[in-house]
This record gives sequence, structure tokens and C-alpha cells, in this order.
Amino acid sequence: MDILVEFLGTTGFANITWGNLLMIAIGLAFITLAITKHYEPLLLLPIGFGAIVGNIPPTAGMALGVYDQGSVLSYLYYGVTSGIYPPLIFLGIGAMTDFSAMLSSPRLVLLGGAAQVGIFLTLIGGLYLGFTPAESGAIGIIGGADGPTAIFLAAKLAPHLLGAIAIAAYSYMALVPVIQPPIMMLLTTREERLIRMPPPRTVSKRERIIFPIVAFIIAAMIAPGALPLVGMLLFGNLLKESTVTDRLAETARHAFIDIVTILLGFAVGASTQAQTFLTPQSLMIFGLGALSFAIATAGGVLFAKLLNLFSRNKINPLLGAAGVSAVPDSARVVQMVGHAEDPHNHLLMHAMAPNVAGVIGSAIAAGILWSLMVN
Amino acid sequence: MTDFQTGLQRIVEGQGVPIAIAGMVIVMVALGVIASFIAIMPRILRWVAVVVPEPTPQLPRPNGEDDAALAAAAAAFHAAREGVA
Repeated sequence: MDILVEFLGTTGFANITWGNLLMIAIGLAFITLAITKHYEPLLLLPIGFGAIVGNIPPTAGMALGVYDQGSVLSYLYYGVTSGIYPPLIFLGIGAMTDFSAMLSSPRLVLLGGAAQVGIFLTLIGGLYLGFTPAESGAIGIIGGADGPTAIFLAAKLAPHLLGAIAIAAYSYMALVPVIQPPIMMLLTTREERLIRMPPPRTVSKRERIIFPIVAFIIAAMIAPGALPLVGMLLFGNLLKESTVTDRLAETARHAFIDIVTILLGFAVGASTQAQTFLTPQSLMIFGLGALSFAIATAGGVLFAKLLNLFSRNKINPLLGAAGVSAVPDSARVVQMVGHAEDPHNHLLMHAMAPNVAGVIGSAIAAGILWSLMVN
Repeated sequence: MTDFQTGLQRIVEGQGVPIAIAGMVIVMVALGVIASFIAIMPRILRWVAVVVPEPTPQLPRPNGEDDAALAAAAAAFHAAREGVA
């Protein structure tokens, strides 16, 4: 009988807290959103199930959770804390990204840079709220709207905030269709939203092969901290564009990225144990993350309007919103908002230019913050 | 809750504004250089193409099935023109 009572004391039912129950409910909400609303299902589903796994109360003396040395989950989580998974995901993203839209309209690249203003203004907000400079930088990167980049920088600058930053980044990426349109509508006139873009020119194979090599050298020389992310992104793209490594590109953009996404999503979800996740700091991170997204969107749109002041060929300022690098969701939002105004105005291809430039821009911003904060 | 003065003090001590400005400038410079390179790349490649022409993509040779389909389509078209069909 004593053994039975003792065993009952070790079960999850005996040790569960209200915080664990809340996190399990959040995990279930993520899974529901992924299945019923198709919001970033490839990420929200593993993160949601991971959150449930991570909030089953551990038994004393047994290494089970991600923070328990020697546990299976801790080995999976090592790929997150050491920053291994994000560059591997970037390899796959590179192998599936077509930079042609960007190569045909180089001025749209700048929109991808302007949207990174969300990162740096949120850094100031983080400092205001009492976070350290390193923590503020890690929180600010949420505005880059790039999950792997946010995880990479958080692992380097503020590993104790990694769970909250990752969850905030992926949650807001899933909410891009909700967050962006009101800001885009508020900052543009109907005439601006009706601006049509010229058809993109045909990009030669040589351009597509040379671009990843030269862009990597430029980005890594200016911001060496961006080397792991930008390097893997553009290496993956070279695998695709060279057309002589089709097998490698095929693996990188399918099986490889899928495996890493499963490990990353699950491990991040499992790191959201209530005891470490449910803190006032996490709430502030979520607030700053939303602010960061909004500023990034506004920054891109306003910069496009600024360019229009000096340009004969006007840019549809909605394209600026695609500078936040949630690929391809923010480009789709641009298409959706433009299409609502004029059903014959197709902005998707054009929006992919600032969108993929935003991926490079946010990786460079992460590299800059990393090098500024460690020195 | 953070007091306004304290918050501003933290921003100053953490060098928030200089970091934000420097960071934004570096990002824009990096992407500006990349954009400039993209803009001049077609011109450079035009010069390169004079020396080393870009190979034109080889179209796959039609196989037997394509020939048969082409012949059937041509016969049908010819028949229609002749008023047979």
C-alpha cells in the first residue's frame, strides 16, 4: 500500500501546478490554431505539443525535462541553446528561395532593410522596461519576424529568455495577416494602394548563381556575426541555383529542413515549463514583440513612401510591409490588401523582393546586435 | 512599473539610441551595397558575355511519343482544313 501511495506522489497529477495547466492549455490552443486555422502549422503544432510535454511535472531524481542534465529532451534542446538548428533551417530556406524578384528590382531590397527599424526601436523599449542591453537586443529581434533568427540571437544573448522570445516570434508570425493590414491601411492612401508595379525583368542564370556568392561576401564582411545565418541561407540558394547539385538542394529544402523544424519546434515548446516561462518578463516580451512587429511594418511602408518622394517610378508602399521577413506570409498580406483595392493589381511577385531581402536584413541585424553586445 | 525618468536613464546607460542608430545604418549600408551590386550585375555580365557567351539552354529532343502525337495533331488539322472531318 505504501508503495502505491509513494508512486501516486510521483505522478503528474500529484505535482501539477496551475501554471503547468495554463501552459498545457496554451499548447492545446497552438495545436488547435494549427489544425483548424492553418496558422503556421509546421511550427505551431510541434511547439504546441512540445509545450504539453514540457509541462508534465517531472519526477524528482529523474532527468526528464529540457533543463535536466542528461535527459533526452536536453540533448534535443542543445541544438537550440547552442544555435545549431537556426542555421540549418536557413540552409533549407535558401534552397527553396527564389531571389529572382529581388534581382529584378534592386531598389526594393532597401525596403527589407527599412523594416528592421522595428528591431532597433524595440531594443530601446526593452532598455526602458529594465531589460539589460543583451536581453533588449534579443527581444528586439522578434521584430525581424524570423523565427530561426530570433532563436539564434536569443540563444547567444539571453538564453534564459529563449522560450518566451521564440514563442512570441512564432505567435506573431502566425498573426501577420491580423497585425499588418490595419497598419498598412492606416499609413497609405487609396491612390498609393492602387499603384501598379512594372513587370519584373527576366533574370539570367548567371545572375542567380553569382548573387548568393557575392551577397554572402558583402554581408559577412560588413557584419561577421551574420555569417552562420546568411552563410547557410545563401549556400542553400547556391545549391539550388547552380543546378548541378539538385540532389543536395532537394534534400535541403525537403527532408533536411523538415527534420530540423520538428526538432526545433518540439524542443522550443518543451522549454516553456511554467516555472520558467510564466513570469512578468514573458508578458513584457510579448508586449514588446507586438510593438516590434507593428513598428517594422510601419517602417517598411513609410520608407517606401519616402522613396516615392525622390523617384519617378513610384513604388506601391504596401510593398514595404513585406520587408518584415515572415516569408511568404507578409508578401501574401501585401497581395491581399492590394487585391482588395484593385482586383487586377497583382503585387505578390513584387512583394517577394522586400520579403526575401528582409530575411537577409534581419540576419544581418542579428549579427550586428551579437557583435555589439558581446564586445 | 517603470518610472519615466528611470526608464530614460536606463536607455542612456545602455547606449540604446547610439546602438539603434548604428545598427540601422549598418543594415541599410549592407543592403544598399547588395542592391547596388544587383543593379550593376547585368551590365557586368553583358561585358562578360562578350568574352564568354552564356550557353543557351538545350531543349530536350522530342521522343517517339511526341513525334506520334505531333503527327496525329497535324493529320487532324489537315483533315479539318480539307473538310474531311
